[in-house]
Amino acid sequence: MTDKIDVKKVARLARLNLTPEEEKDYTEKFQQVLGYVDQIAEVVIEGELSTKDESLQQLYRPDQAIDSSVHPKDFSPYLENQFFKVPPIIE
Amino acid sequence: MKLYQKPIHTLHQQRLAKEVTTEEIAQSVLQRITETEQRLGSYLAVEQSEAVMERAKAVDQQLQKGEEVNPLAGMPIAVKDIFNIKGQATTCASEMLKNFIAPYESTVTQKLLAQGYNLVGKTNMDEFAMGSSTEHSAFQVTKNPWDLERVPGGSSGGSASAVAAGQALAALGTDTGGSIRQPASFCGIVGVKPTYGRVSRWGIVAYASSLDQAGPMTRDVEDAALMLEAIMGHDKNDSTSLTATPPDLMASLRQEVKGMKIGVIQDLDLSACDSEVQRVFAENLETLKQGGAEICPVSLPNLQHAVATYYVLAPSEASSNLGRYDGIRYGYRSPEAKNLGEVYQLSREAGLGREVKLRILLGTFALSAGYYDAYYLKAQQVQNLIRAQFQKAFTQVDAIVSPVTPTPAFKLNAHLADPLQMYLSDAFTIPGNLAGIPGISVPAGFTQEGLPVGLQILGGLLQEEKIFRLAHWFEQNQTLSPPPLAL
Amino acid sequence: MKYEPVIGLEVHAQLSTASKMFCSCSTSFGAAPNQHTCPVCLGLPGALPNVNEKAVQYAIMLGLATNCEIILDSQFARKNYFYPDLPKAYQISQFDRPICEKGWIDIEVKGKTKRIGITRIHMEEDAGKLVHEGEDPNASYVDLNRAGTPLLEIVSEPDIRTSEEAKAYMEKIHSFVTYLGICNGDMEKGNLRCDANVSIRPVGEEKFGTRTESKNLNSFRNVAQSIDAEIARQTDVLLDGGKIVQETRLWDANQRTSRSLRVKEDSQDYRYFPCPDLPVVLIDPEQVNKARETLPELPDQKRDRFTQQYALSPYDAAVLVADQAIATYYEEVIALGADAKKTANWVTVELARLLNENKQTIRECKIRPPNLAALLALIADGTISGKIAKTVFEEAFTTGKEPGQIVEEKGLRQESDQGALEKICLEILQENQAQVAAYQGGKDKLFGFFVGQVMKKTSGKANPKLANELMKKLLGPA
Repeated sequence: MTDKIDVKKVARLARLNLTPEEEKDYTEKFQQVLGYVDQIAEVVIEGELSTKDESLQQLYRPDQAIDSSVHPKDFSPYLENQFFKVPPIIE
Repeated sequence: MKLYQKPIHTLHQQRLAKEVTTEEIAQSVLQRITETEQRLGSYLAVEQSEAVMERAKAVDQQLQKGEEVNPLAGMPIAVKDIFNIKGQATTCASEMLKNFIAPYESTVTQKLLAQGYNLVGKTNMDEFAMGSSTEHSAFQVTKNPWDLERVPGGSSGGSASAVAAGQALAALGTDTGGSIRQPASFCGIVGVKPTYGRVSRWGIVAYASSLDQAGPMTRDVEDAALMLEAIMGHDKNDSTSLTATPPDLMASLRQEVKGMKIGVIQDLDLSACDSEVQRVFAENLETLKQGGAEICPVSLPNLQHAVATYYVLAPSEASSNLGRYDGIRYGYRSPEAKNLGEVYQLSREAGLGREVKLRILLGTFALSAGYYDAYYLKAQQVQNLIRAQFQKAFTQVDAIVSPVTPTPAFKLNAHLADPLQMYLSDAFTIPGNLAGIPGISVPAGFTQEGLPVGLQILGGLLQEEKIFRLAHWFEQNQTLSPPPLAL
Repeated sequence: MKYEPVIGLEVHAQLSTASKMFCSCSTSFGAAPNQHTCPVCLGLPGALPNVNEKAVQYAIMLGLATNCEIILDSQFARKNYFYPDLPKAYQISQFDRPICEKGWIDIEVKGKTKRIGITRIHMEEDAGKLVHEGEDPNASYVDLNRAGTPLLEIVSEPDIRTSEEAKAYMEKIHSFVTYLGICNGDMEKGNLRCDANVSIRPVGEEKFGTRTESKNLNSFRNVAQSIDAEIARQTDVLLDGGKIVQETRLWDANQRTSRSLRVKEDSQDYRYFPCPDLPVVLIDPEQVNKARETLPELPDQKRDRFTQQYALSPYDAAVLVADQAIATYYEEVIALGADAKKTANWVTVELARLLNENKQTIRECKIRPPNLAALLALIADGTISGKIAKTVFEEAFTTGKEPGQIVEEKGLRQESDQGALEKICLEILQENQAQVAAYQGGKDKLFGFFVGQVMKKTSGKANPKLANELMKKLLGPA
């Protein structure tokens, strides 16, 4: 199914920085795992299989505003004037 | 027999009979941690002794006043470091969350709290539950108490080694592809993965949301029933949690195995298994037959593709679930990051470990444009096929048995360089997660080297009563002669 | 070469629910930063979404109102991308199985009705807000109060051909969501906003041209202006032999120009997949039937009823129903006994003018339906003239006083006493003998002068009809 995977491009999508050495290592492991995983292509799927899980029922939440007891100050080291502060956004 | 070696239900009876106090139980476990933790490395955080003793003492006071006390009350229990416990760190064994203090409580630990459990500490695991040996922890390696040169299994390896070694009477784990059952088998204890949706996932750090399920890791089947009864049930905070009435597990323990139809999977090639694992499994089948169970062959033709299917679905979900670890609101943020792009790239680079990154990459790839249909969608179809085949099989049999793993606990570093070999150690447990069905791992024998081997019992959806019935009967009617621990 | 525009609109409507799409945090506006947040909308480890029942109901209502098929097993999907205002690094949205599909609405442009297809309506959550003006000029600040607010995205077919049609479509969607009470429709606050996909193709060509997307158009006027500008821009590019680039453009309402925001790249790969935290959105067909039965009267139905029941012109009726509050106001005045046609005139002309000039909504207007009904009654029974009524109306608009009270206080009551008026008329004839002579000598155009003098002397209060009659009698034939 797969020829040459551009691991670098995938890493960019996932916002993962890879060193050249990591890139090489991941490319190898990638090929190995995908080489194994590719066997699912052989499985013949007959007819339209439902992807629904019948055992689950949808339960909705009533539309009621409730204040949470969790606040950013309880867990965030990155607050300034109650905002999360981040370095400048340069595209 | 030391107190820390006994199951909770036995200790509870003893304290009701005033033969032992909760304080003595807690003291015994704390003492055991002190003696063994340096060699084992089960815990990422251990509670302060005073706090543990305080909670035990409070239960004894209740007992003295003649108040009714839950079996779990005051009992020292360990929790995998993937459950949020309010005010404590939830690290998931990751640099990323090293300093993250959970501001809210998971439903499961909340339920244990309601039973008065006595938290002893948070256990080591593979980072973000990705792994089968607990070697992928960012902080430490955990050893197998039966052989300190071997892994305890994973990802709930810290919980397994703690219970096996008597560092806790029971523990919580999570199981996405076998992460409760496999380490339970490697460490010679009982581990249960309930039906998907039986136990709420609220407050448990997600790895692969459609497969993750929390469950108990205990000394014996009755304790597993006690624990599971305490933690299961519908939770409105988890939309995937089931509304079905929770089963009466304790009642199921009193039933015979006679007349049960037990399936053995025809399509599972056991010849590739370790010979000792094969021997133990054959003996297990003999035990069941002698108990009056009927052994029937069942066909699950697509089972061979389970591991491949899992390694598309689980990484896909993981790649999305772990996107939130971006260094913006909490967790690790690289001090070198000068702009937003660097906050993402550098924080994730330094905050996440190798195996986690590999799975994020795999999942990102499987979901990406041009590959989605061939990978994610196809894997989902194969999953549905496997699910349907299990459902069909369970119209013919009450339970399906197999070894838990192809080999007993492997040596440290054995599979670290070879992810695929590591993944294949979950070949027998992964199908249960893909099918959403309950499974239990019960101690079933020992190899000649003295390593524990487990028996996996799978049941149909919501059929926990059947697997507990079978597991309990099996536990009570086999002869195990365990060698001493390597401690 | 002649080009034909092809336009499709994506409208985002923020739902007026009390709580967010997937958690119980309040959706109210104006709280301190990150005050309305919880583990779910903060994207904390282990937090799980929980669907707001009302948001699903609202989606069904809009789907029914726009003639959509309601999908009984739609699915939530994750749209994955990194941005600081997106705490989970994915937005929970709907992708290949939205809750509503294949609908349509009718719009009226230049007296003609045109049907615009609705491709789909889906539920999703809003992102948070990024603030760039903080204490540290070199930093950005994230406020997640808005993160998780429920949205409906309404995607039209590329059936729209002119900016006028686009504006009419947007106005129609606005009237629908406000009639249904599912969105407050406040475009300035961004509670209803629109992205426009525009392409052009040679007339007669079947294939679509390359399209651009203009983001966040927050007024009806911006929708129309940005589309016109984009059509002109694309036409220029093509006529100059250039190629249209698929890109996202940002409309600058002040400069009336757009600029490229980003070119569609490969990296824009959202990796949609079904959200594993949420089961299929199962909808009971009974629930859909019930929703259909309880749907309020919609603008088109109301317009048809107004033309029949009140004998209004289709145009007047359409103007009245465009805003539900105005339509309700109108009917409240009628219910108090006012004439339907006259009320329509007052509401669509005088009231509309004053509201517009003062940038007020009908809800803020101080003239309430009973006030307008009273004013119309004063005209009907001859207490004041139609002309004086306008003065009274403006006074009431500013002060909120009862029209009757204004008439009394200012002495605006119409002079209808024949004796008194005749006395005034005689005075005028006395004072203007030269004109009388001229009139009687045949300059009949001077008649208006005499009546005008009556009005002047009575400060406009003279009953005009009576003044006419008297003058005619007193002057004799021209």
